[in-house]
Order: sequence, then structure tokens, then C-alpha cells
Amino acid sequence: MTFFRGTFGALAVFATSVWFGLPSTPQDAVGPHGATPIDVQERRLDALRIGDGSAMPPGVDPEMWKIHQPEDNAIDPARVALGRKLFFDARLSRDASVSCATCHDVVRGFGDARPASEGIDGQVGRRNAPPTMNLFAVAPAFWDGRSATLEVQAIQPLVNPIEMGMPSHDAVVAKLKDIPEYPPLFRAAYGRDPNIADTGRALAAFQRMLVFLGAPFDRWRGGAADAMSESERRGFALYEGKARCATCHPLNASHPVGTDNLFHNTGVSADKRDFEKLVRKVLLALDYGNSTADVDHLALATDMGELGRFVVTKRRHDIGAFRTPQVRNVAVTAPYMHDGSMATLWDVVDHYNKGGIDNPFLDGGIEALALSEAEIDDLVAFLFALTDDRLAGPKSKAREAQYERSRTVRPFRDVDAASRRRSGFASRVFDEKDAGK
Amino acid sequence: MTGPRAPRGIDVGGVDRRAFLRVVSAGVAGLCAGGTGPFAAPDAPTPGRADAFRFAVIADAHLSVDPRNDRAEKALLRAVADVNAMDPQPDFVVFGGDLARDGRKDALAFGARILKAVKAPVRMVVGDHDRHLDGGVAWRALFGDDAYAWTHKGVRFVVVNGVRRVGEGASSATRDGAIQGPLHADDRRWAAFEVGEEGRARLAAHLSGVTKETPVVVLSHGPLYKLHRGWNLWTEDAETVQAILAPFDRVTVVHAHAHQPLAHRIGRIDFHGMLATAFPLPRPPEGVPPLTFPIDRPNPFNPADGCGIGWVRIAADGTADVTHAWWNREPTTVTGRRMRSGGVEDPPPRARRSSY
Amino acid sequence: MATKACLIAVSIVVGVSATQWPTGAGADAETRRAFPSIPKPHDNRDVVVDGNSTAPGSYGGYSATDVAAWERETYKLVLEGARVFHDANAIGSGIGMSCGTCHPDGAGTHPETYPKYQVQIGRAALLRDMIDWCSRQSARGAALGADDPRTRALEAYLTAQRQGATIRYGKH
Repeated sequence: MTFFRGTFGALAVFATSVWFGLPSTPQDAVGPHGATPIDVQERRLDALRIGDGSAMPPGVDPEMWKIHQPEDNAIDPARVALGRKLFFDARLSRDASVSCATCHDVVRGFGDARPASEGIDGQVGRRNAPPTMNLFAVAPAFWDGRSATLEVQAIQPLVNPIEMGMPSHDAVVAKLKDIPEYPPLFRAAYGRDPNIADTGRALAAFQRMLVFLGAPFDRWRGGAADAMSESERRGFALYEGKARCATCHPLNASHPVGTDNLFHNTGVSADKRDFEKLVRKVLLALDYGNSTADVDHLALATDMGELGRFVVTKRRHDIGAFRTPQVRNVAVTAPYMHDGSMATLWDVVDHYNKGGIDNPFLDGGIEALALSEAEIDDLVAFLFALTDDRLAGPKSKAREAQYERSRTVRPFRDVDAASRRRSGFASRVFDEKDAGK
Repeated sequence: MTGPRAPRGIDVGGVDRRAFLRVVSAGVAGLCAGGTGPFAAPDAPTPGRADAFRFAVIADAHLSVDPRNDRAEKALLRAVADVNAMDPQPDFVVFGGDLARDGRKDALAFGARILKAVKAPVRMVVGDHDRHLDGGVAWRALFGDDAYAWTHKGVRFVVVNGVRRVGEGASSATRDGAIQGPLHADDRRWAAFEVGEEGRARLAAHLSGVTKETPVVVLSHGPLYKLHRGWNLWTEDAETVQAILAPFDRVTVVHAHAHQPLAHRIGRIDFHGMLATAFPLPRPPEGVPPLTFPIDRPNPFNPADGCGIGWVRIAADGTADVTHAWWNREPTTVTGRRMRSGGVEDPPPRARRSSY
Repeated sequence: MATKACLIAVSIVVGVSATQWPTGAGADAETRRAFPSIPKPHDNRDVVVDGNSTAPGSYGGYSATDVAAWERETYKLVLEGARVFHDANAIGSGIGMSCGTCHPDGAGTHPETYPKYQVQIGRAALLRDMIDWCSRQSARGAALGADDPRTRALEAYLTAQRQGATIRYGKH
């Protein structure tokens, strides 16, 4: 534990500092693409005492757990063990430098603590790596929902040219067959030789066991009145009330991870993208084909990915819409949003407090919230209280760093918009000088 | 087309317009053929249809400045931003009435200021809320007469005041001293709407000398037919008004007030209820005409859900295709063909709800 | 704004308690005139025993006066609901929106479908929870607790408007 804290703290602060100028400290050993070395990650995972698949994870409603299990991939220890091995195996990438754990680093909250992920040959994508925690309740997968299930999602990065870079799924299977330890593991798990669908199933089975739902919030809900501080309790009231979080991020026993699994345009980075150019590009590109690979490539390799769900559905109202991420353990999964553009939870709350950023496809449910500074602090405090107790160390480190930064750097704050003194869309209609009213 | 004044519009110059249409209409089964949204340009005039054009409709803003309703304000601004981004620009924009919640001067003036930002010419229709306090005195001071007409590219446009109260008299004061507080649709103390004798005379005058082959578009806040008296979705002298319109081959009534899309056909007259910007209203318990598209119930978390703008595309033969451009939903188009075929052609899109 | 809303809320509560015991001088007459379509409560005359003048004993029978009083008290609660429902100030709306602005005659509130999972609230909800949510979120008004006289009146009005509807709890 002590070892872990030190490692995590150093790495997390280092990684974040690269992108957001937080004070840096000397780093520990770093593996390829800046990830934590796999042996360190594996030891950390052991310390987290993840279930081996012989029983359902604690904290999940048993009826809902059943519903979340696909018929063709019931959890069992052989499948989970195989998935775990695959998850950490960089040999599945073209140059043996990238594994799932490169971007879903156990030590960095199952993410990579940077805005967008780095894959093969040092290529950097456009999207923030979502944490692989609690994915049992998250579907469809990816920020734009382009994979219906975790099973299908898990095999996409293997062949994505800027992630793991394998030429084809056949090549992945050939490689698995060449590695002596895999064929027996596949036969034990699925009764067949290695194949790509079972690769996805095993990875999904392992990830379904990464359940982190043991937070102060859960103990408070369970009746331990002192499990959350007064500030955190006020934050929860705001979460369900004035701050309007709970509609898209529902938190109840059947919906424990805090996502509606839908897609919303909340205007993240809408002031940075150019819809005109993007729409033209997406339409021209889609004219040439619409296979899964095309969409996958478009989403990651071009700024068309900024059109979000639209790239998948081609429906206008999905332009700029991204899936609602879970709120569990957000303390340790900075930076935030699909493009990792926000360094702290204060930034996230600032964004929603001002009613997002106006654009023609903005979800109308995103309204200015008129939260005071004290209320923002309470709400953020509550968000930290959604951290599983096993991540308490990194949580307190992150809180310290984020708090520090929030006292001086608040790039997303707009008090006039938040307090509704300036009306939404005014600046799109009037000149800036009289946008106020 | 729109030049440098189109601040946020999509410049589709150089893009294959058919490809554009194919993609954006994929989700709505070709119903977008008359135009797919403020950002599309699929209905630019085509050869042989030189006179086809499009006008936009914004309606039911219900602005209030005391207390200030910033939400209604934001919605009207959003509507203005949308019509300003239409490419090609609509020939003009109709504001369908109920600019202000209770017709207060300051709210109307504020609305007028927002509407000044519309790039295309704006044509105003008076609504019942606009007339609530003073029978429309403040409204007329800002926007002029509430009944007028003009001819545009061979189409006769007539604006009527369809929200006079039965029995309100020449004083045009609608406010019964005994009725206090803001106007509610379901308040039975209010008299029914009518165009009234004078209004009907003016309508007839505005159509005198117009040949029966000339396409006619009537713009009114109230529906000019009878749906549900309880919510005053009702025009008491509807039959007499319709009789004035009956001689014409192709009449399209575009109305507001219902805060939801409605589609009705009586004889050769098509009636289209348009979206509001401020808030949607539920389906009335009776009288919903059968040509109306089914809609998903709006989600109250999103005050813009069930709201939006609209536009009407008039083909050279006078056929009107009416598009409801919902915010956060796919647009739906009620074609003139559907109306004429009694609902057989161009069936409505399947109700779908991806964001909610 | 919060302070203002609060003051309005307080004054309304005081106002309600001051008029909570109207003596039948027609305090609700104007509401009845505005909303004559509100159904009367169920007609209970069939339970009247032995006319109005003969005392039926301690238990087991009620007089016509009793039945009339039940109806009067029940109907008044509903009428009070109709009043609150159509008064933006009664729920402290900061933007001048009343319940009736969006829900004429209570349409679209479907009280017969509660309890149900309410996606806006993010949990299984009772009608009163949705009334509270709508007041705070849709009307930017007061938080209406379960025991608030306004909540009780609103619930009464909405239920009365669905006289005859089949209860289908959980329906969406």
C-alpha cells in the first residue's frame, strides 16, 4: 500500500503536470509510452483484490448483475484469468509496446492521466481513455457508442492503426496461437482454440470484474451517517437538485455507476471546433464508405471525432454528442471529458454551471445553474466521495492537487453566464458588446 | 449565398449536395427532402422550379422580463441563431405570435430587439398573450397593423388577427376586469377566439382580385379551425373564415398557439400548427386532426425538447411542405403531398428518441 | 433571487394557513368559475342511512350532511390545488412559470402511473417527488416538501383530473 501510494502519487502528479502545468515531482520508473511498468501494475491489481470470477462482485444488485451478463459470456475464473493476461500483454500490439494497460493503467485509475492517449509509434489519439472500472454497467462502448458491447469494443484497439496497430484480427489470432501459453488458456475458458471473438469475450469478462463501488457515498447510503462530511452531503443534495446532475448521472442501486448510457451535446470544446469545416469533412468522408473500420479510424485520427455520436448515427441531433461518462471514482480519473480538456472537477462543474458552451446542437437540458463558489466546492467534495475506499490514497493526492490548482486556475469559469446575467445564445445573435442584454 | 454575414452557418459550397442530403436524411427516411435543417442547403431553387422558396417560422416565445425568464430568452435567441444560419437564407421569417407572456410593453420591446437580429425580413403575427393587457395597443405601436397582406413570388400572403375574443367589441380591450393574473390556456373564463366581422372583412379584402389559382398562405396565431374549446384551440367563426378561403385552389394556413405540430385539411385548405420556442404543450384531449404526426413525449429535463423552429417550402405550383425543426431531435417534414393524399403518401417517421 | 423566492414561499404558506378554514363564503368560487371541468368527488349518497334527521347510532351509518361535508372538504382541497397549479407565485417561480403553463387541466402529468422510475430524478418516485422536481427545475420555484400544503393540494388536483383512469403504476 505504501509502495503503491508513492508510485501512484509521483506518476499521477507527473503525468498531470505534463499537460496542465501542475507542480511536478521526480518520476519513478516508466514503461513504454509513459505507462507504469506492467509488473508494477499487476502488483497493484493484486493489492486491489479484484474478484476472480467465481462470485459476483460486491456492491452490485444481483438481479441487475444478471441482466448485465451476456448469454454467451458468463463470468467464470478461467475467462477472467485469460482476460487479465490479455489485458496486460503488449505482445498483442504490432511492435510489442502497447497493451490495454498502456492507456488503462491500473496505477492511474485505469486511465492514462492525460487528455488523449498515446499508442504505437508514439501516435496520440483524440480522445481521453475512459477508465476501465465498472464497465459492467456501461454500454454501448466508446465515447460515441460505436461498439454495442464490451466484447466488441475490446478487440477494436488491437487493430486501430494508432493504438495497437495490428494489421488485422487474423494477425492477432495467429500471434495468440504462436504464444504457447494461450491455446490452453483459451480452451479452458471457452473450449476452443484462440479466436478473435473469444479474445473480446475474455477481455470483457476480466473488465466486468473491475468493480469499484465501495465509496463513502455507499456507506452513507447504507446508513452510516458520518460516512460523508457535511460538505459532501450538501454536495449530494446539489447533485440531485440545483446542479441537475442526477438526470444524466443517476445514482441508485440499479444504476450504480452514474450514467444514463445516452449521448448529449454539452458543448465541451464547442468554442474550439469549427462545425462548418467538420461537417463538410465528415460528409465527404462518409460518402466513401461507412464500415466499422472507417468510423473507428475517423473518430480517432481526425478531428471529425469531435462530431461525436453523429459519426456513428449520421443523425443531425447527435452532432457533438458524447456518451455520459460514469461518475464513480472520478477523483482519480483526471483529466475529464471526451477530449480530456478539463484538468479538475472544478473545471467540470464550472463548465456545467455556465450552461455548457452554446452551439446549434447543444442539449437544451444544459442550463446555467447559478451555483455559488461554496456550492461548487460542496459539489466537488461529493464527487470525491464517490471514490472507492481502495483508491483512497490516490484520491487524497488528487484532491490536494486539484484543490490547489482550482484556487488559481479556473479557465472554464464564467460568472456572468452561470448567474444567468448573460443569456445563452446571446453572443451567437448579438455582437459581443451588447450580448449582455 | 449568405456571404460574410453568415457567422455560424455551414458553408456547403463545393460539397455534393446530394451526398449531403443522403447522409443527413438517413435517419428520417427521405422525409427531409424539403430541407434538412438550418445547416443544410438541399432545397436551393432547382431548374424548372424557379419560383420555389422557403420562409421560416418562429413562434410562441412567451418572453417575460419581470420576472425575467432567461430560459424563454435563450430559446428565442437560439431560434434566431438557427434561422440566421439557414443556407440559403429564408426569403423572410414569420413570427407567429405570443412574443411576450402577458403583452407588457417592456417584454414586447425586448422581443422586438431580439427579432431585429434576424437577418431576413420579419413578418409579425399577433398572439393572444401579446394582447392580454391592452388588446394589442403596445404590440401595434411596435409592429404596426395586425392584419395585412402582400404577394411574394406569386403567392398571396395574408396575416390575420385570429385571437380576438368573442364579444370584445371595438374597444379591443381583451382584459375582463374580473379576471386577474396571467393567461392560462385552460381558464374557461375567457371568451373563445374569433377573427371577427371586421377581421373577416379585411381578410376578404386582402384576397379580392386574387385569382383562384394563386396559392394563398394565411398566417394566424389561432388555428382557424376547432380542436378543443377547453384550451381555446378554437376559432369560433372558423366556418365563416374557411368559407372566405374555400374558393382558392391551394390554401395553407400556418398557425401557432398550440405549441406542437398539428396537421389538418378541410376541403382544399391545409392547416399547420408550428413549434413554440418557449415550451411545448401536451396533446389536447380531443380534436387532434388525423394528419398530425405522432411525437414522443418531451422530456421536461430539457426545456428545449419539444420546441424548435420551422419552415415552409412553397413549390412553384404552390404546394407547401412544412418542416418542424425540433431542437435535439430530427426534423420532421409534413409534405403537401401527404396533406392532399389524406395521409396516404409520405408517412410520418417512426418515433425515435436517441438522446432521451 | 433565492431570497425573493423564499419570501414568496413564506408569504404563500402564511396565506394558505390564514385561509385554511374558509367558512363557505365562496373563497373557491373564482377557481370553480375558471375551471368548471374539474370533476366533483365521487357521489357518496348511497351510504346515507335513514335520511338526514334520524341519528343512525354510533357506527355504521352516515347522514346526508356528513356526505355533503365530505364532498365539500374534498372538493375544496382539489380546488385549492387548481389555484396553486395556476399561480406561478404560489410555487415561488423565479421565471413566472406556473404548473398550468405547460400542463393545461393537468394534462401530461399522469398521476395514475406513480410510483414509477422517473428519469429526471434518477430514482423511483412518487407523484409528490415529481411535483417537487417540477417546481424546482421546470418552474425554478420552491422546494415543495411532501407535507407542504401546496404539494398536498396539487396532488389532490392532479388526481381529481384523472377521475376514472386506471392505475398503472410504473408506466412510461
